Amino acid sequence: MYKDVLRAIEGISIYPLIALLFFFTFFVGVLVWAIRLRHDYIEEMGHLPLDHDSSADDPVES
Amino acid sequence: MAVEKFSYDNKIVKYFALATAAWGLVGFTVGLLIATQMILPQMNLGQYLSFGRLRPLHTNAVIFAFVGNGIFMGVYHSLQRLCKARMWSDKLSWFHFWGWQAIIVCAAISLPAGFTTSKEYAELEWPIDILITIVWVAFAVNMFGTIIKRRVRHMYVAIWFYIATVVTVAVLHLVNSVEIPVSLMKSYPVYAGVQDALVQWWYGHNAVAFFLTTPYLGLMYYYLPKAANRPIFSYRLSIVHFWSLIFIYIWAGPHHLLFTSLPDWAQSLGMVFSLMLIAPSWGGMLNGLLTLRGAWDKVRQDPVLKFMVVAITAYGMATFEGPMLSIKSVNALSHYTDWTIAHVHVGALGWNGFLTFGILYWLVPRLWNTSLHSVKMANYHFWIGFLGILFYTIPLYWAGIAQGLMWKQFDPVAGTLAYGNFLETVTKIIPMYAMRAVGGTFFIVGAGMMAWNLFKTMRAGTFVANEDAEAPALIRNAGSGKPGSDPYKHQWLERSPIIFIILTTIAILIGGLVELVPMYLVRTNVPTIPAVKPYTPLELEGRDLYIREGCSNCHSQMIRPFRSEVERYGDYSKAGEYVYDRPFLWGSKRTGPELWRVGTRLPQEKWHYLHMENPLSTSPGSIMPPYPWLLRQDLKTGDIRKKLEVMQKLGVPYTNEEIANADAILKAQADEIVAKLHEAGVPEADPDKEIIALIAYLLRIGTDIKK
Repeated sequence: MYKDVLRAIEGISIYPLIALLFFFTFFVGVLVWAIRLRHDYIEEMGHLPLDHDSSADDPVES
Repeated sequence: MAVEKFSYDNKIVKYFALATAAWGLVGFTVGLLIATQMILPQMNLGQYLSFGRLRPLHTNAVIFAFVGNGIFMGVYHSLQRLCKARMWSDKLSWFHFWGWQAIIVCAAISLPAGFTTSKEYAELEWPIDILITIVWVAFAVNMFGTIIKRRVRHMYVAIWFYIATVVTVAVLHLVNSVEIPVSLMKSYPVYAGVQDALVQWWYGHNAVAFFLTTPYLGLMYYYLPKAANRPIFSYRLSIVHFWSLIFIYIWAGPHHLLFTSLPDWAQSLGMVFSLMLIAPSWGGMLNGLLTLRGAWDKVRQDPVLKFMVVAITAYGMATFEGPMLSIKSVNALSHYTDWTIAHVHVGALGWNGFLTFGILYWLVPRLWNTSLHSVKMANYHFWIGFLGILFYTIPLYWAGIAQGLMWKQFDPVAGTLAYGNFLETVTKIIPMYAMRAVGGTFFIVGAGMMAWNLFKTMRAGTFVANEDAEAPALIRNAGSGKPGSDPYKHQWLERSPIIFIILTTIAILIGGLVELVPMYLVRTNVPTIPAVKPYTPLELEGRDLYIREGCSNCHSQMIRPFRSEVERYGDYSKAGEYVYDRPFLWGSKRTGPELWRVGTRLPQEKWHYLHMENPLSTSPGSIMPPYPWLLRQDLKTGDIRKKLEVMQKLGVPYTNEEIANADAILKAQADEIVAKLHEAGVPEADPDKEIIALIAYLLRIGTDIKK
């Protein structure tokens, strides 16, 4: 049935394999990218939400 | 540097917050009602409030009304602050708010009225789909406008998650909603059978991924550091988390269709990518929990952090369990049982519910410039809500596994099914359903306490609609913005929202295309089974009644190739049997038995007639709702020719002659069925009533292959 039709599509069996390899490469790329980022930049980015820019951002003691 | 003065729009945040709390209570309450219906079928209060119609109302209310408004509340609040800019357009903000509430109201009316596409989490009919598209575009434009005019050079990780959400939900909604209207509130999808199933579960899975997960991860990355007053544990990890999550998530949809007629390669792809999802999901969870290292003393005192810690833990548990459920051998047991329901509620009650509560408790006092009315009450809410989750999920895990095992159990001596009567496996787990309803009640009581607590907080404080702020203007041309020209490697990307949006779109499209394109190509050259014929006009009307009543919420139409299923339900399902099924009605849960080939197992018209009128008359102990109105209401056949024409347009081989004579063909078949009913001792049977069409359909499904 559908399976036979898909088998007839050339190289369908390699499809998942290509997908996996593609993802793996992508993942390694992102990993390398993230690791090579500079420390001061990471610090700056991490602190973005804590930038006090208005009174409402100060925690109100309850 | 010039400092610019501007103001944050808090009023829109306030409205979304109020909507979140209010719709949350509505959604939970509908959930409790349908949980009660599963113990006491007499709680099915007539046709507009029966389980099949309320279950989609519950899921839609919780996903799109409660979580949806929760997303918008968080995005409108955090985005303005992360961008140091007011929302791009106040008009669009308000259009978004009222448009979204209008969609919810339309859903709340149309779903109980029986207007549904039957596709899970995409039940709304085509005019509402169009409204959703328009409102979503307004949101997207407003959001991207704000990002572009921001006064902060870099886009914080929360914003990436928001971008991925906006882009992907748009793609999912558009692809899954391609349908051809028959009338104002009725349409047929352009996909059929196996393809429709794949598209639907590509959508369904990613609705969970990109509506319930990615936006809430964005909220986690903003509100957790805020509440704990410390930066996220590892910003590097968040980069890896984001890219690998959005890239992998989109591939995993087929894990909803394991052991079905979906081609094996797609099932394997879904399983492998689901397993890989553990890595980024747990990366994100650990990133959240480790943010609190050295601050756990705060967690003991602050209810906001308590809610958040449980939410993130629930996220971790659900995202570990999900991949496990995607392993084919586990899925063979779990699928169609309450295990799935328990799994999604760990996510919905724990992750989405508790994170929303945590954010509301954090946000409301700040917007109203006061402190929380009662910290003690918030702590009580935490504990009763937490107990509610436990009482909800543990009995359902028990119920799901027990029932799954009962379905598969064979008598070792006789070689027959140990629980040959499906109903026997249902009555055994009703006590668990009762405990689940108790858990749900706890959860609602907690949410009610929160509503009161927040109301008192608002009353005590003063709300500032436009909060003054100032920030230096962003100098546009600092740095070239190209990769390599900058010591900060990820920076060029975070400074270029347009490139970021494009890359995100590519990342999510790859997985979708790899899965969907081969399936689409198949359409034109798939050999059909010669014995499989299109539905007759009466059967098609019956099928639409099946959809209207939401039968597929409790009954599947997909026999998996297991000995236990073949023994119980007949030969396993083949892909070619579903080529005329628009929409597919495979279902995802068997609260009642499988119905594919029910016409072979139960070929008596009279049985179905009596069973639909009152299930207890044929099946003592059944928890199925009664459908007496089907015996009273006239079948509306006004659209039948239009329906056949649309089907013909979509490639179903109806002849022009059949379409022209549709009414006569329909009438003849109805008379035939009624004659049999009269003969069997049902003199009141009337050929004009809806029940006749439904019986025609029930006797037909899955029987062609035998001919």
